[in-house]
Amino acid sequence: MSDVFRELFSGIIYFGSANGLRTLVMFVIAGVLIYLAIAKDYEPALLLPIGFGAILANLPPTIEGVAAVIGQESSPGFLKVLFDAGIATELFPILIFIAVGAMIDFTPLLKNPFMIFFGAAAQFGIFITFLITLIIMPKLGIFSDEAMKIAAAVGIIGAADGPTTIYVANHFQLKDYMGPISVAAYSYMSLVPIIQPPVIRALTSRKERLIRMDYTDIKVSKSVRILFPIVITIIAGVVVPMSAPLVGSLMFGNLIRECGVLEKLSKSAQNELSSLVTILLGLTIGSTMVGEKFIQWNTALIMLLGLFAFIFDTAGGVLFAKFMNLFLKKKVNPMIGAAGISAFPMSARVVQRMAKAEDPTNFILMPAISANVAGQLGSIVAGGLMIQLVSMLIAR
Amino acid sequence: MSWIEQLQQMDLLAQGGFVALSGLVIVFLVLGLFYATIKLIDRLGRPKDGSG
Repeated sequence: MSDVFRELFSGIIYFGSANGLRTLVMFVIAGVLIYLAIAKDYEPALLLPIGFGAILANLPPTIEGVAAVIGQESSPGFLKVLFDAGIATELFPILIFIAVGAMIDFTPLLKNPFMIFFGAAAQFGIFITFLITLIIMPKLGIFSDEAMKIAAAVGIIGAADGPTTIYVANHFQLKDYMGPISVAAYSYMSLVPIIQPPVIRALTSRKERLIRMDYTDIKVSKSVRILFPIVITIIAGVVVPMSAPLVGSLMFGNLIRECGVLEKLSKSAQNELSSLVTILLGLTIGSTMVGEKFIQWNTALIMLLGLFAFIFDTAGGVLFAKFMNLFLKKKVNPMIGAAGISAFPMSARVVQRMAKAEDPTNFILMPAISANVAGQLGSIVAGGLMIQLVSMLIAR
Repeated sequence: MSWIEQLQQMDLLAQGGFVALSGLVIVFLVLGLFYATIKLIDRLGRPKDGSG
């Protein structure tokens, strides 16, 4: 009889064990994510499903130490089914990129193509963090290929591009690190207004922040807007083949938007596809945050290194703009460089807000938007490149 | 740390340095190629549409 009761109340008894305590900690972490989503409006579309997914994945185990929503290989729970179908196959990030491509208007970049270089400079943090992670990994007893893979995925957090981060981490089959890496990527994306301003202020003088930038409204022809996604896909696919899935899906979404004959599909990609995949992606990422693997020093280290990557990406963009000003006749406002990260359009808005705070009549939003969309391209090229270079070295 | 581990770490760092440096340079090159492409298609698109 007591066995029946024990079986019946196993979930409650579970909280009295060490694993149960871990579960409670995970509930608190999930609660914080849900609080940030609802009360602070930080990336609610992602942090809320991630938080809820984490609650589901940490519910008391029913079969062989695993929650019912995850299940076993022989009888997978719905979150494992989603993980296998959408993350392990890299499908969700690709679908998100189609939606993002349909949402992004590349016209500001086409009007001011020089801004594309800020999208390259602001990837500096990815590579420097990659190197720093490689220095740290052997001290944790992680060497060789595994260290390379982890360093690549941690560095990409700096791109402030969630889908690319998930894509890279999954490509290197870092399932155990997927939770902290994704949470770091999405948390920092939502914290752009808090993280970027102090970095920008530290690297620029007031005089530099007051620099005005001319903006002439040049008309971009429809043929250019249609040719752009097609030609960019071909070039990226030829030069950095591993970036083709990301660039290709982003550009496909953009072609749907710009072609002018697929209005319904464009709207579907921007709304229904984006919302649906975001829900599934968030829940699935949350399901990787199982206490046993999440509550470790490695998680704190990944979060710290991710922040480091993010700060150095911002700094890279600003310093590059300052460097360019040494040669340019018409100076650029160095704050524009910080908008070269992928967090669109938040980063451009932060830069404009800072310019307005110094001088209410200074309007640099359009160049900042140009740098910001360039950052989208830069981060996916960097992601593809990281996969390509690291895979090449590992295969040797 | 044994000398084998030290060697491994040095090798890892050398490879990492290669990835980091070449990665950053190639990102600039690829985006530079995108820049040239935008300029080119803009030039091609202009006479046809008579705009821009």
